[in-house]
Amino acid sequence: MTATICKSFAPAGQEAQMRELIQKQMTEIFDDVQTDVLGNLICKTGSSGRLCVECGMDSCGVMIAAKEDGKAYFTGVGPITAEYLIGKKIVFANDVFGIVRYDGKTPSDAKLSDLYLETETDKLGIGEFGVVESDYCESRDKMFANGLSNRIGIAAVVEALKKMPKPEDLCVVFSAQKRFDARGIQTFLGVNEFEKVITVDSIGCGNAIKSGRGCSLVVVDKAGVCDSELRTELENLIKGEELEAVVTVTDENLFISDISTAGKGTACAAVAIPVENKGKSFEGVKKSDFCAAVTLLTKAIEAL
Amino acid sequence: MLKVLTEAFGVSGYEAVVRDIIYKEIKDFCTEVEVDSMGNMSVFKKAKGGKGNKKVLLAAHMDEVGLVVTDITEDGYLKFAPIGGMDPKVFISQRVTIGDIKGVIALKAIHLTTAEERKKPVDINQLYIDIGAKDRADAEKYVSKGDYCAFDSKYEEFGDVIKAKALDDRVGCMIMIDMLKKDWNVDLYCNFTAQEEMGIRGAMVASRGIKPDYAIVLEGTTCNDLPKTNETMKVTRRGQGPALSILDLASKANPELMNMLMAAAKKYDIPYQFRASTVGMNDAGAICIADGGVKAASVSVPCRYIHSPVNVMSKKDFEDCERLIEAFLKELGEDD
Repeated sequence: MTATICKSFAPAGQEAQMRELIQKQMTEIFDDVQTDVLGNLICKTGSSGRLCVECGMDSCGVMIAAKEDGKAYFTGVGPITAEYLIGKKIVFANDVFGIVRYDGKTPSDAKLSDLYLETETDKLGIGEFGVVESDYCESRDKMFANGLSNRIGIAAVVEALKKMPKPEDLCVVFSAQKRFDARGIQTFLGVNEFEKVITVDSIGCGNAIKSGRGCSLVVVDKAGVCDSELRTELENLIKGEELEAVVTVTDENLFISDISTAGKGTACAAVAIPVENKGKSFEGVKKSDFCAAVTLLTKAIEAL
Repeated sequence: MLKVLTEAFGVSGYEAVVRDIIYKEIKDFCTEVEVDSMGNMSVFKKAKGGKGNKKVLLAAHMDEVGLVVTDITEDGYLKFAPIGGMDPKVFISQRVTIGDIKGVIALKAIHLTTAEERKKPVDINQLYIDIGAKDRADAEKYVSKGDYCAFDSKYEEFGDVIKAKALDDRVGCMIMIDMLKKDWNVDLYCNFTAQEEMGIRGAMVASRGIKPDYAIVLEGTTCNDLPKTNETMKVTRRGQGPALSILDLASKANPELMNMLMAAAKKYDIPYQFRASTVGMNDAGAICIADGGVKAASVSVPCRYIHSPVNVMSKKDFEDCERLIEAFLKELGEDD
């Protein structure tokens, strides 16, 4: 399933293919599965407003901005760097692909406006969205793919929901436009109240965050802090069930603040899966960390 | 009318003059008008005919970029800060108005600058407004800290071109005024919003509670079709018709609405182009997330040199933008 999710075409704002894929899985689990105006996939059973689990469906990509002399120029869709894109294969919804070229000598100096696509320009219109080809692969205890950090959360949520008994009172939102400041989930929460929201995402490995130690319960991110009561509940769950999860502080933005302050405000916590090489070619995730996130989500949904 | 609108003072947060001009122009053509605490003017015009009328929200912001007086020097010069996003380079040697007071933005003359100073970009701290005051006491008779300044720039036409300040977004206001003067088979909501240039604040308030079927933001947008400009940085091109935005920093156009706009353009033989850049934002950012989500898009008139005293746009682009909105409303009314 992770491989299929990784290969789905879902640049921010054009999540239809991913939504369709997830929807097929969710209709077996939830009583009510709907898509709203922004493209959020809203899966509900029960209506107490107790708990919402959220995960972004979209991924970063590029948008064709101009074509000239057989080259297609583009801008970024979501946070994406020129250095990362150089040499990548970009795929489009109509199966056309292009290779990102840079004529300069120092990739680290490149700006997005310096890059262009070598492609069949006549088959691509201005405004067409593309994403880096995933090239999902596995080796021993690891999964690798371009853009894995944008997809691994979805895989974890889907896996957790398939693994556990059918929930009796739960809302899961696979949100659209997460890469655009969590616009989808903010819009949803603007008109739907919940006591608690757990957002599921990825987190880059670095000095303080190592892979192979389980998933992360993020208590502070770049812009926000996890709700203290929800944090305590989750920490108790982790201790009580001896789950592989570590409390984490990160300078990445997992949108805890945006989610907490949406609508009338809600208690929010973030569960994240450590990703090696995040934001670069072939991001990697340890299967044990992925499984730890699935288990934590399963237990949290049951307990909360 | 566009001359009156563009020459009016309407820096973000102080849109009253512009609002009054618009109100006088539209009051006889609408069903309801409401001004909220932010200064937004929300106008409703009931459908003339049709069944099961669709609700359409049009939005354009009344405010413009400008300056605020931050200090008065002992010599009687005014220090200032920008209101809205502007490059300090555009300030130099410009005429400004502070209420009825006229002034010019001055910089030390080239004779007095060192070679080193000439190499550096101009910093706003080097600039000041000269209102001809003798000293601080004299300046304080006319101006206070916190006073707002607008560029003093006349509306002019030459060839196909209109030059004025604040075409962003008085051109959008102008189109809405014209739309309100006509009858439609849709329930038409027109939001003349405040404080767009300060972070789409007005629209955040004004967009709530309407729940339209479709929303279109009318704008004057960046047109950077200048020589030696990278293709991806041109954004739009003058003379190639209204620009349909695909994506910016705050919103992504709704595909269904975009298809309807493109179909209307095709049917009525109206040229259009895409705003092929992701930079900038407008009221669509607030509208698209209001009330659980609204199908929204932006249609803009390309304007060269926006956020400066001399915006330049094509009359033909302006007319075609109006035609496109008319065509869209007409088609939607006929669908009913």
